[in-house]
Amino acid sequence: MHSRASSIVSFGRRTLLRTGGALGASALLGGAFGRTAFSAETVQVGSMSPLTGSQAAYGTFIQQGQSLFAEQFNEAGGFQSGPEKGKRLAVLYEDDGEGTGTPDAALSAFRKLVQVNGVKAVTGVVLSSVALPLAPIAESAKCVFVAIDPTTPKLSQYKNFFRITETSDTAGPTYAACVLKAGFKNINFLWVNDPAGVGTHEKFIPAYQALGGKVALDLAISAGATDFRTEITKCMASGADCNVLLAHEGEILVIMKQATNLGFVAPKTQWFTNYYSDEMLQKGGAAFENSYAKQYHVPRETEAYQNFERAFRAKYGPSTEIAYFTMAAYDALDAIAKAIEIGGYDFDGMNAALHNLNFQGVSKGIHFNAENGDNVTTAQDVFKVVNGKYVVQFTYDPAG
Amino acid sequence: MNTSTIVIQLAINIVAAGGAYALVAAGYTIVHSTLKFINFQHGYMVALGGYVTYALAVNARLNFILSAVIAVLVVAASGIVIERVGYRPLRRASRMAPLLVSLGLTYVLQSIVLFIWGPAYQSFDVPTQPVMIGGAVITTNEILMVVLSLVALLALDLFLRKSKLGIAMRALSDNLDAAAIMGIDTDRLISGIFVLASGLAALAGILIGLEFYIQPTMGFPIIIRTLAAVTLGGIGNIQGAIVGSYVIALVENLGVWFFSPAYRDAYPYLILILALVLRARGLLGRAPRDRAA
Repeated sequence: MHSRASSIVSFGRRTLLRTGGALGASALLGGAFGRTAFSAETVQVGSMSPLTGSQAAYGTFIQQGQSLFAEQFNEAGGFQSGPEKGKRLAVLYEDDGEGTGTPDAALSAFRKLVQVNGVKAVTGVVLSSVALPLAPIAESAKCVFVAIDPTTPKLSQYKNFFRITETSDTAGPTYAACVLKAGFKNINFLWVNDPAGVGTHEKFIPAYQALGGKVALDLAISAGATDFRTEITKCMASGADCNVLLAHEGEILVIMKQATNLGFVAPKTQWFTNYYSDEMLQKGGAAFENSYAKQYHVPRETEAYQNFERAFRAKYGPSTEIAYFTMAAYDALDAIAKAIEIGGYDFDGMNAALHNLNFQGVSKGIHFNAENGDNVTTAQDVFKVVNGKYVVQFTYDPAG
Repeated sequence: MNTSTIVIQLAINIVAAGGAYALVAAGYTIVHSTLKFINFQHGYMVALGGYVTYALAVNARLNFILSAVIAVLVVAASGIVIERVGYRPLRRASRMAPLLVSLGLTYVLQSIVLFIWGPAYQSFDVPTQPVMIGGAVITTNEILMVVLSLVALLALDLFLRKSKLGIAMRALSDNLDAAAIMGIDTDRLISGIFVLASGLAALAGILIGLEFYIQPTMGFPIIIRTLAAVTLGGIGNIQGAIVGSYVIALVENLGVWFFSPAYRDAYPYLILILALVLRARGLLGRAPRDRAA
């Protein structure tokens, strides 16, 4: 559960259809060419993301990033070293049904990738509730998994499971420090009651209190609910000076709209959200004015990012916003490709290589903890919405 | 915020939510009392109402009120199509068949909405103004929500009790076969029932979109509350469905206030189970003996 820079709707329907069509066509063409010219010379990697349903925007972001990476990688000659040298990278996209409330579709998609397509490396997955049942199956299937955004610490026990995101063990304290550094010492904390929310909440509260903050109201909210007036009324009655949200885009949009309707916004109170999205700002309009948000610090000054941005613009056009999930998905596939170059397309070889990887990705430094496969880079930017735009207030890096 | 302000604010929250639920529940009840099956698809007519309005008011930039009126008419008309294609061929089939069709239609309608408008939340962007009542806030959109739902429900009640068509619809719901024997054109009347129910659902979708956001899966939580409301009020009883809707809104909001918002969806069903244990036919449902009489 993390911030993102844009969402599907900002493309407009036509652009979305064009993008979808282009992705579909490239997938079809890629598949056709793969069978005719490159089938023996291709290393297939699985990619699982929500391509339909309420979370489908994430799937579009993930496909954008990974199809761009595969295209660049193959144009540069494919694998440059190791036993797969000279082969091309093919990404097999599967809909994992995230957002349907059950992991059934994800488990089917994973089994298909491993048993039918024979892949040994899979990337994707946004939600902890889907990653949790997948991880042990991936372990027993001897398949490495580089996930995009599941944050629950319970995934750390699987030695073949890596993730681009931080875990809630670090996300909670980091969020707490960001809120305090922004000057909010007495807060209402509203967190969505799902695995990621529970995990981050467990670490946020003690960290915030240890740093001297006071939690006036600690409120679990229902994921996917569409009416939060009574929750906001509780916040109004608590007397806190800031309302900190740990939720998904949908809940945040509704809460901010209803808080605005109730007149419960700045200067009467402050709002701080865990979700950064230009498209959400556009949709929410004045409701977000003066609110705070945090997002992973994206090192835009790096060569890796600048090359990515140029290629992204060339492929998707100048007006398509670059979402965090697109960058993270690009990095996840990059990590797998590097692991294959180092360790070959072999479970033990890739696993060992991933544990030792350390490179500058697009979204952040990609450096998996050698013990548990969790990414160790967690710096955050804190923004304030001024005149409808995010304005950076400060960068917080727990590593100092 | 003092106690009286909190009480007023909670009352406003409950009345606004209850009004929207009641519109959906009343429409659901008309169909259920005639065809006697659980109609999941009804919740997605709410979503359709919201999205057709969005298409006209936001995408096509038509006047909002005109868009809303057209949306109600379009969704009401789509009720005819759904009834004729989905349910009429199954009139004599077991109750499981239309139930499964209604489940299937929920996914079809949701997929259509997803394909056209995508998965993101959408808003009508109709400006609203806060109105202060004893320190509590009610928005002009919420006032509209409360007033329009009351007007629509009163009009429905009058229609069903006073108009020939309404009386025929009630006769149909009492005994479909007997109504057919008496020369009532049951097919046309059932189409009319779907028009009425779908129109009410569309209106609810528009009011919900005004105050909140619309999104493709919004039909599911709505139908879950609707089923609780109509069962609590007494299945087949429109007044019961309306009372049940307000009770559900009351319990849901008090549950959020006194316990935890995390279990918002569970409170309506807790009270439903309790109510059914105490009074199996629902709050205003008739006893089997009354029905026979």
